[in-house]
Amino acid sequence: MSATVKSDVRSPTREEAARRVRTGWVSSLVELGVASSLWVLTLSLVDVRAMTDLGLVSVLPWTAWAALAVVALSFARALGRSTSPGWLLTGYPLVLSLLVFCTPPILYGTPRYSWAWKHAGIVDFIDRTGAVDPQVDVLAVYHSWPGFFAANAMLSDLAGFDTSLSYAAWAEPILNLLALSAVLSLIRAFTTDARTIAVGGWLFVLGNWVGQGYFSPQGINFVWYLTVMTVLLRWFPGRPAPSTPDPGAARRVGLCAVVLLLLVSIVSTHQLTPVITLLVLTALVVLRQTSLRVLPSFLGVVLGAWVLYVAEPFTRTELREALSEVGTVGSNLESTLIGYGTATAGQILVSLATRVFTVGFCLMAALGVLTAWRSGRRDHAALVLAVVPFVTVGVSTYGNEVLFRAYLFAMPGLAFFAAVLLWPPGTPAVRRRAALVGVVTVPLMVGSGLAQFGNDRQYHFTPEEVAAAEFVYDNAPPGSLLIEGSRNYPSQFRNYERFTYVPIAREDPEDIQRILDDPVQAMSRWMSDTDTYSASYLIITRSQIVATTALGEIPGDGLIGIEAALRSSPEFRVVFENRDATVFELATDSGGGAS
Amino acid sequence: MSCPGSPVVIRALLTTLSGLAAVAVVLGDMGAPVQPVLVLWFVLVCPGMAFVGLIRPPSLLFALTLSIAVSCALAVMVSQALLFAGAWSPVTGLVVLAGLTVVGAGADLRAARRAGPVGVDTSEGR
Repeated sequence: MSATVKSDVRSPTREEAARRVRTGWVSSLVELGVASSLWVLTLSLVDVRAMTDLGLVSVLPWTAWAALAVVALSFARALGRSTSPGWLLTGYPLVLSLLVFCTPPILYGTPRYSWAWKHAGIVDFIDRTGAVDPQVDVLAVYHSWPGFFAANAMLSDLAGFDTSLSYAAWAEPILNLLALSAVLSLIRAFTTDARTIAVGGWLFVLGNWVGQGYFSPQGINFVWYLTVMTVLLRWFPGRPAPSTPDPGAARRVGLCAVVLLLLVSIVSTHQLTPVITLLVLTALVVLRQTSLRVLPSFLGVVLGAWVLYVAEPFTRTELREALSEVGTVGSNLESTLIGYGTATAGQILVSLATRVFTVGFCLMAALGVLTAWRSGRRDHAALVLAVVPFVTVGVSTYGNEVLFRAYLFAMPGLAFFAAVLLWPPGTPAVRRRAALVGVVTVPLMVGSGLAQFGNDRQYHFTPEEVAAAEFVYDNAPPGSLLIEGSRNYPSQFRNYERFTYVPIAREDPEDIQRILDDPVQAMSRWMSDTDTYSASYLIITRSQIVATTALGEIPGDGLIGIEAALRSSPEFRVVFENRDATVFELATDSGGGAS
Repeated sequence: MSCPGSPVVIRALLTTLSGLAAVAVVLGDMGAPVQPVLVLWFVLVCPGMAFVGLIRPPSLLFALTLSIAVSCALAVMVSQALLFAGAWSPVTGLVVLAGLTVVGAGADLRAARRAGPVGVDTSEGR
């Protein structure tokens, strides 16, 4: 009798709890659906051509901000509900990543960043020749680390694509999703609190403005790096928790095989990632954070063999320069930052916002370290991930890029500690803390938008610009000279080794001034060298003009002035033009087949 | 023991058949949309998925990430080997990847049979 009464009392309660759980996640899914619909509406309203020096954020309509607000609010609400399941919480950063990184390929239709096009050029080279040429004059480094390009040459050929550019734009959302997924799994090595993990993933999406998750060796290498760290710290920790079950011998062998495969892939496809991986692995082993103590030696041997044997033609000439950069912390930091004296007001704002955002994010992480320390947590492994990548600022050959790359590799550790600050592991679902996450998200979203997409006016390319480049690459004879306003345009993606490239913006300031003083005379002199070149062309595009103006690389009227002077000169002939690009050759030139 | 319909058998069938279908579609030059969809699915996901089954990742999300990461690594290794061997042939690369997939799926099935009925996997690491 008493049992019956008890059952009668408990059933409705259990049913009520189940109903609350269901209602909670159903409302979350509805909110995410609303946000996604608003985002789709946004994509149809954006006028990319109206973009200013503030980048993509300058043309986002109110629906975009409304969509982001709904996602942020919904995330905070889900965090504050004690019934929210882990899968729902980790779904929020995944949805945010999808919304953010699907936007460029949908809006622009072509890959962002001129480097994506150069990477497609190496893929094209391998596809055409079935080989690499480490002695090639342009982009020789890629011929010594060809893995990424060879795999894409194979993939695009098998899939029946004419070029890897057919899918390259979609590498951005895919690689960013993979990186986020790996980070969510990696943070699980530091805490089992689903809310801290979800906040960490959320902050990773917002904080990772570096933009290396595009069609590049770095993009896939970052995913491999994160995967290696996840396997190491979850299955091979230095001091396994008593409750951690043994994965079993067969599974350990399988996990080790995955790590070794990924490490060899890292070494053979990229120059910087193996160095950072080696530094981080060494620190983890020295601090006894992993039981696989042989890994740094293994990686060191493979890296040494690759650099000194496989990549020998490249390292023979470049090693001295590489070694000369060791210890150049100051100059690396200095050259990373744009010149405020020459840049436009919009670009200065973007640069300042990026700096403030980055410093603010690192500060949040530092406060998170203090919070963890005060609560008795000793997350040495996470600290290694957050700090050690910055060692490369003093020992790299990447010049001004290295600070950005160091920040990128530190992101998993930084995001974890920032998450510890906002949602310390073990904190129950309380609305006040959830509201704090929502409030902090607002400035982070604005800062991230500026930092991630603030240069998109010059980082995106129109089909018209692509058509102009295609005209040159398809029609110019081998051995041609190609003068470019700057390197920032869709370039070198086809038959790239057949040209000598001379970007005006890379000339010394005195030479640029001489060109501006008399563009016709200067260009005529450069392009009339028929002994050296079979034909000569000058290409000026919209993104070149935007980039050189925004960064103040060419003073005065810049490329617009040069283009106007050549158009009005009888010495030059326009062989191709549309609203975004113009290609010139000398009027006396037979055209080499390009006219 | 892996019985028909178990996740291990489904995974082995899915990856192996995808490999065979990708090879057939490429050799038959079927073209868009079947060829790119099938080739991208197989090369970027299946070889890794066949091997990752041996590791039994703790979550679907990490299993998918690991599958793609390992597939990309295998594609890099195979294509690079063909390149440096002076034997560049994308179709050969595809056949090698399909072969590796069959090996991985076979090992997965064998491991499942040896392990007997598998309960919930709790060894998630930390």
